[in-house]
Amino acid sequence: MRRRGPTGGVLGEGCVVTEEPILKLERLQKVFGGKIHAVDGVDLEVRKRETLALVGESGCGKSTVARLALRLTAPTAGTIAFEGRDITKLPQWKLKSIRRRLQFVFQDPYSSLDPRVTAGASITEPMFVHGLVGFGAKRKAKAGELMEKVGLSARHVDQWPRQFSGGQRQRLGIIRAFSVEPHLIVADEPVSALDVSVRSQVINLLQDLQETVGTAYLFISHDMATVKHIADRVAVMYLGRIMETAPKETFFSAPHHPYSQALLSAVPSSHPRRKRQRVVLPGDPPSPAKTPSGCRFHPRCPMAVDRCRNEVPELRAIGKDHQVACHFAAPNPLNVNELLPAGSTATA
Amino acid sequence: MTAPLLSVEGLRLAFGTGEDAIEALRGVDISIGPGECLGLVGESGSGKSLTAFTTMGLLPTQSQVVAGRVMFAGQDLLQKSERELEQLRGNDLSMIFQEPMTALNPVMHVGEQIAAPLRRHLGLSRKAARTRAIEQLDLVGIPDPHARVDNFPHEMSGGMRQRTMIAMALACDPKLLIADEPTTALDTTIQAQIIELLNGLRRELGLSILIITHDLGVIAEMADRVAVMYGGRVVEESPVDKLFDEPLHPYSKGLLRSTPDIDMPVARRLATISGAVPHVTELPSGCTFHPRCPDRLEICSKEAPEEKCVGAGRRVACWARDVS
Repeated sequence: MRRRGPTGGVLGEGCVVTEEPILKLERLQKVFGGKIHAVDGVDLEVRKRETLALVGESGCGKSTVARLALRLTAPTAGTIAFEGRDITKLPQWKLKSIRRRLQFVFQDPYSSLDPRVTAGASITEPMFVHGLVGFGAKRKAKAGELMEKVGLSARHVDQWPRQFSGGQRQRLGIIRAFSVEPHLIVADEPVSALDVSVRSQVINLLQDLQETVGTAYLFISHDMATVKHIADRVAVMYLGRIMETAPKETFFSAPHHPYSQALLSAVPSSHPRRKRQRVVLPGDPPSPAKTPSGCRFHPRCPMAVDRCRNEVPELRAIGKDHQVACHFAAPNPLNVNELLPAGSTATA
Repeated sequence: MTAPLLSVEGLRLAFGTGEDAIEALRGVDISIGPGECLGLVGESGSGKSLTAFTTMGLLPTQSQVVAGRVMFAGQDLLQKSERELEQLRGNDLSMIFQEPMTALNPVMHVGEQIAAPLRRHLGLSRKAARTRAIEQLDLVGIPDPHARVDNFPHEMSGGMRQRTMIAMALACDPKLLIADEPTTALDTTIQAQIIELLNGLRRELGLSILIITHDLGVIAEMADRVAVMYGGRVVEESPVDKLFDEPLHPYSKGLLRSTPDIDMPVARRLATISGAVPHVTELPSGCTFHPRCPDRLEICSKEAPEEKCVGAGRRVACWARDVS
């Protein structure tokens, strides 16, 4: 494993490391305006020091899950447990103690830093709030130290956010989150707004910091190639529900849900001579205000049958760590012969 | 080789005048043959969109062409009057944009918007133009075009709006379609649909396409040839598979290596290009890539390299490739 153990100090001595997930979402629901089911019964867990990538297309509810996990918005139903503690209904003032261990990085480096606060003050804000850094010169020195950790010069602590490029601002946002050595960082599309040549630098930085601090990521993304690079496990979301969760290797080599398969086949090829076989999905994802009956993917699904229109498939285990919400999901759906009576073989 | 349909030659474009002039395009050379798809790839600020807008005769305010020509079917577009350009735009040359919501008129039915160029350029009657608009919507794969023709843009999804943009751009059978990041704002599965659509239309209609993107995957899916832009210049030009097999310019190499590849085993760390894309007001001297370049030579900071031919259809502007 490439991950090192906890760096000490964070978990403290005597803290028993159990295999309890760091974040556990159960039957989570968020309804907007009484009819838009943005998140509609999500079960998800993020384990210690792992990167769970939550993928899906716009409108699938992945960013709402991020906001719910951070308790930036309250769920309509369901529970959110952070390090074993139910935080679903925790009042804001009690959330403060949790937020030191639960940080976030947002997509847009331009709007996630206060334009009227210097870079140094911005990135030391979480430490300051939690009483981990002093005033004046001490705080500034800490800011400089933090900036150097992400490859920025300590001389720039007094600069304004607008004086930094997009990539540099995202580094500031990242070190701000890491400054309090959180146990979980919710990162919502943290590299999507960056130029290609800068994106790879920031991805490496995210991985390096994760190794040193021992943080887990809930990494929200629509970019499959980045997910393949950074994730340990993948969860696919469609119209407010989880369709499949699997370890990365399983997901990219043998995705089970027809939607996962289509999503992967839609990724542009990485070489003009390696064009992939496409499962082109008809139409667009329906609006979360009018979710289809049964399996919500059935109107676009190439495999849909009557049962899919009537019966909601539950997320069920089909292998180690591998769960799929599809009536057809079986340990090996691609092997037709296994479904036929013994002795006979399928002909092409 | 047949005569190119469009050739941009030595195009230089500056913002402001005199001492304060900022050169955003510093001698761009590209050409597209009939039926060909050229990919123009680069990061933000490389000048790829500016090249496209200049080609369409849509210069940003306060900018002027300092040198160069834009030859389209034997005529220099830069010498055309606004009236003559209006005859060409939407007729012979068309353009689609990244965000169809801002490019479509929000208070006009999409049918009328598709019909507008038909009535203007082909002089069709209202009724005939509407019929053609329905055919166009059908051509780009919009289901139920008879109903959709009376939709407002906000009644459509992002993918449908982009299809509508394409229908509008292709209404008058243009020879060249300029597509500026047409799939960037779209989801992966919708992006795949639009790529298939554009590739299909190109085959069907014999259309030339200039596709502008920062996404090498889109290039791999669509382009025949690629021009890589950096700092207002084309630094490498190549047939598409050659570029992916063996990029020559250090910047192209860096771009290809630093893009995570879904088809390859995962490496522990991604390769990177050091530094960041320089702002157009702070372009370095000599070769604009030299501060970030791993192959930098002494001459690189002093003098900008010329684009040189290095084999079939391949050109590269790099001192380090200047051996032999």
